[in-house]
Parts: sequence; structure tokens; C-alpha cells
Amino acid sequence: MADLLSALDISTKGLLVAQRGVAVTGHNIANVNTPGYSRQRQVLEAARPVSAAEGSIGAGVEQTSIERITDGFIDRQLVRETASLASLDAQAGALSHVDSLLGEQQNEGLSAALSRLYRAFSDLASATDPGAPSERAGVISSASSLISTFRRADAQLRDLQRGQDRAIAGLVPEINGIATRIAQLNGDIARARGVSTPNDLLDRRDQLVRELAEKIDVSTFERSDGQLVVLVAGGVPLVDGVRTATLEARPDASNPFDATFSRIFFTDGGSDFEITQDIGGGQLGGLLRARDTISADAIRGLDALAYNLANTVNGQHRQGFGLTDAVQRDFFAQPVGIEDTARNLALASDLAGSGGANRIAAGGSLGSTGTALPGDNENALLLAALEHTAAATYQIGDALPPSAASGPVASVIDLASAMLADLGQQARLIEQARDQQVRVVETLETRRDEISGVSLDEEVTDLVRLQAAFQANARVISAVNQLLEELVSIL
Amino acid sequence: MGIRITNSILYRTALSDVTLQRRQLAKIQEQVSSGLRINHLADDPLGVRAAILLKAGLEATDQFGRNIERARVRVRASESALAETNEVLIRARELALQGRNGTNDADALAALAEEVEELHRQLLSAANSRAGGGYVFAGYASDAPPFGAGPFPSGPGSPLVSFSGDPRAVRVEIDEGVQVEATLDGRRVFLGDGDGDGNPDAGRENLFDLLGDLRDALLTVDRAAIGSSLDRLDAAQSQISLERAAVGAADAELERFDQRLGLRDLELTKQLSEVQDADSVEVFSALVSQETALAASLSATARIIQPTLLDFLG
Repeated sequence: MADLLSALDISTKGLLVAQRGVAVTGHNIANVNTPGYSRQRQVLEAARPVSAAEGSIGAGVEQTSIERITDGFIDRQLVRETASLASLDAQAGALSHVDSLLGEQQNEGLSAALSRLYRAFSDLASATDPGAPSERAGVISSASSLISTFRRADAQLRDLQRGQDRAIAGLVPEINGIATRIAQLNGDIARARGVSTPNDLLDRRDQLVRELAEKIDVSTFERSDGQLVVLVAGGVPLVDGVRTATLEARPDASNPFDATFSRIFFTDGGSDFEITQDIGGGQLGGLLRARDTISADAIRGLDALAYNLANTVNGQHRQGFGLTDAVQRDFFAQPVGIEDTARNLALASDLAGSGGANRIAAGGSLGSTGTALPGDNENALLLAALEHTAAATYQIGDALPPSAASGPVASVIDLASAMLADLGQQARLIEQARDQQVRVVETLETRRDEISGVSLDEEVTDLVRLQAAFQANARVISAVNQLLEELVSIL
Repeated sequence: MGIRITNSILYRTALSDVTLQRRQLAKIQEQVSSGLRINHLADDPLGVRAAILLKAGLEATDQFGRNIERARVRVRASESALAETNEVLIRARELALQGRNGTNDADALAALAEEVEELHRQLLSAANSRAGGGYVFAGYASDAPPFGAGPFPSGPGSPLVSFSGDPRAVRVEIDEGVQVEATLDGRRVFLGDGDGDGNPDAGRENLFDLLGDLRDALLTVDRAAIGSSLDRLDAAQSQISLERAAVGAADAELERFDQRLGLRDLELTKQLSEVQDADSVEVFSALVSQETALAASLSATARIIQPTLLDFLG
């Protein structure tokens, strides 16, 4: 009798275990498309047998736990590579924008406008009309058009840069929000851990860490008590158990482009320090590079180009004379520094007003009139020849003339073509790196899925298996029940 | 591929393959619609640099062509004026011969003198030739006629002609580093004064003085003076011949460079096309093959991702 009752007990346990198995399978199937879900599995053990003289008597099955199938190593790799991808993506996007802004497809670009100025000087030099009124007007007009082209390109690049700054500022509260949620989960997990491993909470925490990695470079480690410590920007603790620190975006008054651009600070009530330079990944890292290197370099490249243009043209223009007086003048308003030359490029004030065209220094010497003679084209010839003249070029950071230039010996058009080719090369390389990184992340995600992903075929097979087990256990119960009835009817 | 293939792996792989195909297709479509291989700086950075320099070279070539045209306007005008000057000298020679060998009749000689006066005016007009808005023999002072003379008195005493222009030749750039003189020094051509000391150089003549002296000699019936005019006219004709030769050489050089520039234009255009234009045959066949690849990818995807065990269980 006791044996029969214990047999009933065993089968009942078997039934319950099968039932729970179905529940676990059902949970997996329900979450087949949940991002970050790790499949769960019943961990079964044969229950402790009873030792008796007639043999070790089995006691049925026991579910000892429900385990979550993950590989922490792959998860950590995925976090790292996700941050890297997000950064590359942001940078590739930035370079693609700069490419579109400065690209030459429509023939209305910078190098075409530069070429037109030299054409105008050459027209002036070969003019047959004394005083060359229409050719002078042509010089003023192509110079104005070139100035507009520079200013427009500069304005568009600065707009791009400001957009990047706004995105940077917008990311900071998002990062803080995720950190808060991770901390809350740490609390929930700590409370739940006392009873059993809170698998779904752990999944959700891992998913949040991955979300965070898209925004900023992250590394984590789990303390022995199961609490997660989240480090960002190369080792700064943003989350420690249930405590969070905060990231802040504060304006940087010393930024050479815009005093409202943000720097990123870490503050946790005790310490407060800047981490801008330490952010190495995530969208935030990528955008910081985009704002402070990619956009900044493009703007400065434009500035250097404008500076060398103004400097070389002025250098020659100052050697000559115009038709109105004996004064030797600049052609462009001489820039006061290399930075910001593109946005401030302008004709010299004497040339900009009415009658300015006659002050263009086409002549090489003064005549008896006290001005250049109307057919004197010597300086105009030299101005036109600047197109092919290579000279040492100034770069950002150089001291102004008469200090020596540190850049390569090149003509202005050479410089422009080198700058654009260089941008194209950068864009190409980042695109390739980004595409490569997409594949790396995809491979890791596939590896993660191989271990933790739900396979519907597998789960459905399990359902069939569990159904059979349930049926079989039920059959045993039914058989034991009959036996018990028999027994009772005897008594 | 690992041991387990889950549904998410299948979907991800399928999607990433199809996405890749579509991106490649989009790139080819860009080339088709623009006709260019290079639609972004990133497409071919070296090509970008080459294209910019080639375009600048083409524009420069066009510009030199324009400069040559404008130089020719002046060169031809100079050539024309010199031809006319030569005619004047030839006619003056005939008149001088008639004056020396012919009748002693004062009226007849006066008539000859009047024609010489007319030749003088013609010469002045030729020396003050204009082309393209400027005076061709005035050098840098192209806005005003370079030669001026007072009126002829009724008797001898032909007026002097002064030069108020500029003796420098106007240069024109017809190729990188190549300059050509498009005008002549009027002072040297017509006054024979190349060194600018105010007097004709050795072996040269002041053509206006020459004609003026001939007129005076005819009016005063000075046979000796008429005779020496003939010698001077010979020298003058050689002088003009030399100038005409120089102008002719300049014109020939302009023509030569014009042809060279034409050839260079063709060559640069061809090179530019090779760098930046999409080969339409190549692109179109790439388009077709990429579309096929995409269709194959989509079809395979549809077949792979659909069936699960549930389709087969009862």
C-alpha cells in the first residue's frame, strides 16, 4: 500500500514536472522574438533515492532549477563591439554629410569657383579694351561668387557641427535614464535572488547594458552578490548596485567654434570631473569625434584654403597699381588669422564699393598720370599665373607671415583637390570599417543566438516530448488508481 | 555556422544578405542616373583629385584659346597697318622718282607735294590704328592715339609728329609660362627710335619726317634732297619689312599654339571622361546582374524562412 502511494506520488511529481516543462517551453516560445531573451531550460534531477534492504528505491524526478542559457564572454564581447559599431556609424554618417556638402558632382563646387577667378584674371590680362571695364567687372563678379561659395560651405559645415552638438546634448539624459533603470533592476534582482535566480530580470538588465553600449562605451562586472557595476568612458562607475552617478553636458566657453558646445562631465555627489576625452565608443563617442574632429577639420581645411588664396592673391595684387591712384592695395580683405577665414572672406573694402573695379591692380608700374596706364597688364599676367604657381602653404597652427609656412609647396587648386581627395579617402575608410564592424556584430549576435536563441523547431519538439511524458505519467496514475481500488475492494 | 540554428539567426542572415544586395543595387542605380562613376568623394578619392585637376586644365586650355584670339586681333591689325604703310612708302617712292627725274614745272611738283601730304595723313591714320577698342601702336597707353601732328602750312615746313604713347609691347599669355608680344613699339616702327633717345637709331628712319622732308623738297624743287629721300625710302621699306616679318612670326606662333591647344583640349576631355564617366555598357550589365542576384537572394530567403515543424505536425 505504501509502495502504491509512493508510486502515485512519483507519478504526480512526474506530471507536475512535465507541466512545468510545458510552462518553460511556452515561456520560450512566447519570447521567440523578444530582443535579448535567453532561452530557459528545466534542470531536472532524479530525486534522492530511499535506501532499503531490497534495493535503492527511486523517488521520481525533481526540478532543481530553471536555468538561463547564456555565455557571459560573448555577451561582453557583444557589448564592446556594439559600442564600436555605434561610434563608427556616427562617424560614417558625419563624413557622408561632409562629402555631400563639399562634393563636386554639380560642377558648382569650390574648385570650379576657384578656377573661375583665375579665368577672370587671365581675361583681364588679355583684354584689348583700354582699362578693360568688362573684364574688371568680371574679376569682381567671379571673386564675389568664390567668396559666396566659401561662406556657404563654411555655414553648412557649421550647421552640421551644431546638429552634432545638439545630438550629443540629447544623448546625455538618455544615458542617465538607462543607468537609472539598470540600478532599479539591480535592486529587484537583489531582492529576488534570495529565492531563486531571476532569469528574466537578468535578461532585461543585459539588454539595458546593450542599449547603453549603443550610446556610450561600456564595460561591466558582476560583484559576488550578483550586483552589476557599469563602467563607462574607460572606467568611470556610472552604476554601482542600486546607486547611480550622473553625466552632465555643460557649455564650454573656450570652444573655438561655439561657446555653447557641450563638454561631458561625471558627477556622483562626491566627485565632479570632465570625461569628454575619455569617451571612446557608442554614439556619443562617435558624435564627439564627428563634432570635434571630422567637422572641425573640414571647417579648418576650408579656412586654410581660403587663407592661402587670400594670402597669395594679395601678395601679388599689392605689387601692382590700379587706374585711380598710386596706392598699392590688397585684393581680399587680408585675413587676421588662419582660423575663420572662410566665413569672413571678403573683397578689400576699396574694391567692394562702386568704382572698386578700377582699383584692381592690373598694371605693373605707374605712368605719367600717377596711376597705371590703361593697357598695362603686367600685374594681371602675374595674378593669372598664380593658378599654376606652387608656393609654401600655411596650415592651421602656423604663425602668420612673415613666419615660414609649414605646409606643402602647392598651388591653391592643388591644395583644394588634395583636401577633397583626403576627405573622400577618410569617408571611404570609415565606411569600410563600419561595414566590417556590422559583420563583426552580426557574427557575435549569431553566436549569441546559437547559445541563447529560441529555436521554434526545438521548442515544438520539446512540447511533443513533454506531452508524451505527461500522458505517460497520467497513465501510471490511472493504473495505480485502479490497483488501489482493487486493493480497497479486497479489504 | 554553429550547431544550433535558431529562427532569429535565419531572419538576421536573410535580412543582412538582402540589405547588402540592395545597397549594391542602389550604388549602381546612382551611376546609371548620373552617368558618372564618381558620385561621392568616397567613391574614388584619387579619381576625384585627378578629375579636379583635369577640369582645371581644360578650363585653362579654353582660356588660353581666348587669349590667343584676343592677341590675334591686335596682331592682325598691326599687320594691316604695316601693309598700308608699305603701300604708302611705295607710292612715295614713285612720287619721289617723278619729282627727281621729271619736269621742273613748279605746279607739277606742287601737285606731287600735295599727294605726299595726303600720304602723310594716311600714314598717321595707319599709325593710329585701333583694334578691339585700343590703339595698337600705343603700347600700355592704349586709350589715346599715340601719334599727333600739327597742321600743314601752305608752304614748306612740314609739321613734326610727336609720340605720346608707351613704347612697351603688350604681352599675352597663350600657354602656361608662354607669353607672346601682341603689339609693336610704335615709336620704333614709325619714328625709327627704338632706344628712346628722341632720334632715329642708326640705319632707321622717322617715316613722318621722311615724308615731310620729301614734301618740302618737292615744294622747294630741291633735286638733291629728293634724291636722298629715295635712299631714305629704301631704308624705310627695309625697316617696315623687318617689322612685318616679326608680326608674321608672332601670328604664326599664335596659330601653332592654337592648334596645340585644340589637340590638348581633345586629350584632356578624353582623360576626364575616362576618370569620371561611367561606362554605360559596363554599368548596365552590372545593373542587370545585380538585379538578378537580388531576385535570387529574395527567392532563397522566402524558401528558407517559412517552414517550421508546425507545418508538418498533425
